[in-house]
Amino acid sequence: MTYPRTQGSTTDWTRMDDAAFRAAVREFFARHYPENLRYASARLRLDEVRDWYATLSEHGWIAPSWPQEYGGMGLDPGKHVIFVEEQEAHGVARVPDHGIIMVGPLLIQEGTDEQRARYLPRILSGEEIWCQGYSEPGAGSDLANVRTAAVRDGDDYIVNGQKTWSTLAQDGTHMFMLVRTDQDAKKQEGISFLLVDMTTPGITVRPMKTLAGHEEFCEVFFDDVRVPAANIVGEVNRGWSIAKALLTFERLFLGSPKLAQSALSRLGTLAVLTGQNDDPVFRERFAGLEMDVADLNALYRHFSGIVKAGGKLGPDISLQKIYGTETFSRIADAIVEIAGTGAMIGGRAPLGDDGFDVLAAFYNARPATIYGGTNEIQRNIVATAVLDLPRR
Amino acid sequence: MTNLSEDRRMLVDSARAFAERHLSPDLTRKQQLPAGYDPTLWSGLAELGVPAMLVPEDMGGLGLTLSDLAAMLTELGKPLLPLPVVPVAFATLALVHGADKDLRERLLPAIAAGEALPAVAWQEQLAGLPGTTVATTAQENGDRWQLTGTKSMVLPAADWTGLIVLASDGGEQGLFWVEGDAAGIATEPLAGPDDSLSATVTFEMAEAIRLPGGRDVFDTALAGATLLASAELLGLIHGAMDLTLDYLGTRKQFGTAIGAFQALQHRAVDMHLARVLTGCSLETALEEAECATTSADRLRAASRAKARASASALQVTKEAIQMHGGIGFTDEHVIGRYLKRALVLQAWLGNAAEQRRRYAAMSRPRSTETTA
Repeated sequence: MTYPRTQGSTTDWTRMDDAAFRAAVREFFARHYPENLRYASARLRLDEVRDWYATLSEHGWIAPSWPQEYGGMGLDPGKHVIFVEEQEAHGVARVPDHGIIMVGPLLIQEGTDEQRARYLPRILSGEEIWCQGYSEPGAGSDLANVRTAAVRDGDDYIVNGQKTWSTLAQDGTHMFMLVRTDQDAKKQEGISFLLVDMTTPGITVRPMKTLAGHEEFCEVFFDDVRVPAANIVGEVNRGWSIAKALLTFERLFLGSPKLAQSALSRLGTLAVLTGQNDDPVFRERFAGLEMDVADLNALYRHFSGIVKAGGKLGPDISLQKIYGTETFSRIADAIVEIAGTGAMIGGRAPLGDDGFDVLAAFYNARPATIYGGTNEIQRNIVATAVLDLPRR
Repeated sequence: MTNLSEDRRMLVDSARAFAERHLSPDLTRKQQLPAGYDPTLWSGLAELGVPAMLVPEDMGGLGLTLSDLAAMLTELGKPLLPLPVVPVAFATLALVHGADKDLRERLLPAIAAGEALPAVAWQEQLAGLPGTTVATTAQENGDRWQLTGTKSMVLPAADWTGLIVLASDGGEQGLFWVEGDAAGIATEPLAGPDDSLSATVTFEMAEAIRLPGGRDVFDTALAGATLLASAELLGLIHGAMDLTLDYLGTRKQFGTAIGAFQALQHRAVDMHLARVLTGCSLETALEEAECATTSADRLRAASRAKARASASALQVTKEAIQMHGGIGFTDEHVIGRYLKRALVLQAWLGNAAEQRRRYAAMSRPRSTETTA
């Protein structure tokens, strides 16, 4: 099995010390990342980041955490955290990365040789772009309640149902999805992981506009969609435990201080633009938020320290998701508040050289406390799995 | 594991053993005249080496760090600590950094042995952190000085070996040492809600010597004491939280343990988050303060930790009372001791709002974009 890569394939990153690695990553982003895409306020679409995807791919940097034998950088968790930190510090936008973050690790761990050979190289090259099919109208926070059915028919499964909140599914060539393969089993049992080509007949994708006005996620309808049985990942009816494992690591990154940090600097900018920088009431409020962000960084250091040391994150990682997103939300509120009637302007208000989008952070803060498991679900998890409080 | 963290673990274990054997929230019920603490209990803590921790090794101390003492204080604070560990550490830091050789040699070994009891007298008004002016005056008189003025919230409240006093010589602020038995000192004890004692101390031409260190040394010592008070608050938060989690798991209403109710679960998670944040905030602030090169940077780090610890302690102890219900408001239940101790510790050396104001004065939002 060979994996395409034009450069960097021989670099053994694991032998580099952390400081040198950080410097190398920083230098790479500074040299290659397009200046006009730094600190994008909304999720970028595939056509905007395709060139950047290609650049990462050519240098062998597209899949930081995959083992080198599969074409990744082979970073240990500690170096991966450094990679992400530098990415965030430089304001590097996410590429459509479900293939990299979810499907790759999933196939490397649970897939067959045939599946790995078929899919991994095309993820690395950007030829195939993956989207996620988890949530359904009746399975949001209660994800184990998925109803989309896959019924065996010869060598195929026939899929019927509906997925929703599939981020950028309109750009996806493939979907990894949770389907119910046993209608009679208990809720968490009877769920399987299935890989689906989005060009298969019977699939309809309907993009939905968010409150912020972006077409960031989609509804996807399945009407007698025929999928080869060979596209099941792992064991049939054992998809739930695989999906759960994929969600834990996600929570560290969903709670990263990045959102709050950049909103805080936006708040500072707006205060200067509106002449409130010297107002003592504002100054005190700003200091409070500044300390919150510093403490959020301290919390992040605590959890990423566990990962860096090779440890396993426990259910208390939900605290990071809760505090990261709620701190971000408080800062977004402060931006709207000090903007006053600036909040009456959709898009860029006429402030400063480039204008100032008063509502961008406020809009972004809404889904942040919902996606990846609502903050209420995160609190349920901490209450029972960390504090050991009784279940009802 | 490094030797350092191995040593730290041993310190923490010894503090935990002391706390389990000798401390309990009920100990804080008895007002300890005249100084506000039990001398026998203090001797026990001295045998553990606690007052010696910040004293350099060549002065008979252990020469350990703020982080080491903070780790011990967190353990000692869990069952509540009716002993002046932080006030004495505050004075120790001022003497280590600001006293001349004679005074250091006389006092530091005695402090390390738990025999000397110094206090810092800096505060003049009930509210606010030390500002740019000080009303207490120091007048030069030969090779000595005479202090006149009133200081409030002095801890411990009596029995001092001596007092380190922040005063103005008319031009700049300095630190002065007044012997505990000097003439011209009048004290008035004030009882705290937790039955602790502080003193209002009036100096009337009290004889003093001037320490070489001035306001800068005072600020460094204040930053250290503020961090240590935060560590004691962290211990208190753990103690109150653990009692409350026990109660949520055992108290039954409507046929179920009340901890099964989601409304209480979510609030308990917010209490836990406050506790975890306080720990992370303190750990990073201690590192910042220990690496800092100016007293201003040390104070800035200390303000962040104390703001977090003070706010978290009030949040957790108020929620603890609410979750205990009616029994939580009775004097006989121990959970109330945590609320009362939290009130005192969150206020001492500056509450969350005061820390936020100081932090604000040290930083200013700046535009990150190029604007006119």
